[in-house]
Amino acid sequence: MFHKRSQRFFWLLVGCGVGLTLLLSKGWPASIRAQDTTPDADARKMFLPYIASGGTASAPASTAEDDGHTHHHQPLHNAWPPQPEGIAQVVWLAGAPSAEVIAAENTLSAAAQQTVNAAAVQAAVGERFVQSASAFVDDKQALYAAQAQGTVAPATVRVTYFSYSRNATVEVLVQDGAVTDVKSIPAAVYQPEPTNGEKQQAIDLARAYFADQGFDRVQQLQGYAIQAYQPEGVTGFYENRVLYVTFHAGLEERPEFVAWVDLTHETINKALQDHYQVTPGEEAQ
Amino acid sequence: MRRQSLLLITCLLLGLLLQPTATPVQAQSSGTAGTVAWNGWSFSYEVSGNYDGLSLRNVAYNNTSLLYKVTFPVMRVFYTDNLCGPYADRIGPDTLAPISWANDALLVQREFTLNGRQWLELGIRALIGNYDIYQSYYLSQDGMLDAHIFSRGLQCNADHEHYPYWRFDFEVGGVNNQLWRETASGWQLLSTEFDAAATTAVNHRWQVRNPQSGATIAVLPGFTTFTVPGDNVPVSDYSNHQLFGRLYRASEDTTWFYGALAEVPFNNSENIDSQDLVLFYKAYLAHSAAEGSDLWHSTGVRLAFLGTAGGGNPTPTPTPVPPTPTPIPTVAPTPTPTPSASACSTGGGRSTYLNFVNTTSRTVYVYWVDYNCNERFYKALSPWRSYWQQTYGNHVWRIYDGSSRLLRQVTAPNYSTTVFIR
Repeated sequence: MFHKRSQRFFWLLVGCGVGLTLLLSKGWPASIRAQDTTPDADARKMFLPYIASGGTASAPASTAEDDGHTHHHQPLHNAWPPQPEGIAQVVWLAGAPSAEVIAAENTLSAAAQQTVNAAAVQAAVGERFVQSASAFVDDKQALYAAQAQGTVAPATVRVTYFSYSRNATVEVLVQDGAVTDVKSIPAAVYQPEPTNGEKQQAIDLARAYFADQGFDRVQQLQGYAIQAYQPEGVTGFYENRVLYVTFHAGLEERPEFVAWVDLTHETINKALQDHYQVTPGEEAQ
Repeated sequence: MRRQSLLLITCLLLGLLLQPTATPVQAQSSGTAGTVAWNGWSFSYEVSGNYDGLSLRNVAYNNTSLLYKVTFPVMRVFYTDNLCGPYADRIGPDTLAPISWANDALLVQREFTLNGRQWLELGIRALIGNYDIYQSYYLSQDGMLDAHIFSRGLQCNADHEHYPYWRFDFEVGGVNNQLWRETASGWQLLSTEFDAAATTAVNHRWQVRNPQSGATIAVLPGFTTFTVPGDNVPVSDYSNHQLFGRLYRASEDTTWFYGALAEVPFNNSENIDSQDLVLFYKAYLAHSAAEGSDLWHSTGVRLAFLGTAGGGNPTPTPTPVPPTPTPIPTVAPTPTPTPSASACSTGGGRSTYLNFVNTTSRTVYVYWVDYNCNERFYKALSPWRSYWQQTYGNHVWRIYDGSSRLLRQVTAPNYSTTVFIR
């Protein structure tokens, strides 16, 4: 009986030791990532019909002579990079939300809602718009001045919209539950980051466009969208709300189809099939 | 044997199940916002609607304040021949993605030991187009803070370059700080706003100091600790890095308003000596399309708290070096003695351009302040319009609104720059 207990305890120790070792090292079993796909041997880049050019190319960026950074392909799904290599005694930290964080989130949410109902905001954004973001206006000088006087600086929230009706960014300031300022900025001067909804709309428009052109493969690909900029001007913002959409077999694969999507007019400015072309010893064309 | 196997599997499962829930007492977080107290460090963190990445606020180490805030306002990207792009990657709520190695959390928060040193890591993952980005901070038990960025992905099949920016709003031992760099002739105080290559300091010896207490932070390039293995970090690694010193102004602490093309604005040659100092650090990544879309590349910047003067700081005490006169001939008129040199144009500068950008909703009026301090009207600039104004270094320009309210006064540097009027 004693012998069996000892044996059971031994295996319990072994098991727990292995478990703890996993805990303190990489943590999770690594799975081998799929192999890279072979680059397309077709050296042609085929441009599809497009409605309007998204801007001319100019001032090419200089190329790197000396990498100021490091490179690494990820061989394992759960391994470095970007996890540091060789880390040990890993302890994951988490906790309950603090009262301050919850209060701040509630203030932002309330301010965003208040702007929707404000007449001045409705006039500025028109009928077709998207609420992009809300954030506290950070003024530490006012904060410190208030602290010096033993008071609390009033919180100001900036709620940002993009209006398709006006083709403009609309910044709204809210203080103590009241709209204090509404500022309209032309799209060519500044645009907020696209929301997830806008990105999905751009992907859907581009996917439908490619499908209409007979490129059924696009239906099997994953779409991604990013704010588009022109390579000229002061900031590069387009005069309309333009997103750049790419379609890939997966996140880690090369783009196969790309399109510049004008969400203001819900049209495709430019589209192309972006084959990657490599023959041994040659750069991409 | 079967029972032993069951015990083994049970322990393994227990270990895996317990892993993500280990919870130290002192940390608080709610998704992507919270507060941390860890090994002498204290700060709060958030991912805000300003789309300036994962930011840390009120950062202190061993009860010495170091930063009011550090943010990641933008990563600008340029593709060869502009086959696509440029881009201005800005990380915010609608870019966040689950982190597979952190049980699909939106924020990594953990401590670990590496090479005998204990670190705290906070990081977020963002998907911006096809870019897969991990932005993180690593804080060491002995007073180092590494701000790091990892990126992979291709928006089109072309070589491209990334320029990530961090904005450090320093408060080293208090609000008023100085910025120093070591040159071949010794330590040099940078007394006015500047744009400079990281290589203008010997061995990247840049320091932020509190002139009263001597509390000092070294600003160093990213270290191999958190860059991908297989490479080292020679001096040339930061040859493309830049620093931008600015005077803090609340109106300039906004979201990245400047798109993909504009460089860090607000260089008005204002005094930053013993002032509220803001430092932008611009790093560099290059990605060849031939390397594929799954290539991770990374870079960063490290802050190292060196303590206070006399507290074991190995750094020599900086000695101010008088500015060297610029030996560049000028074609500007000969300067005349003026009653207020700070408000008048002076000679000695080189020919350059100012790009005035009116981001207000009103017409503004641009005046040159001549050598006798008289204002000379040059341009009425409509809302949302910009124009390039030829000028000379050390020339003063003022911008008024229609009510004769002074909006900006700018002293032109010896290079072209953009002046945003807000």
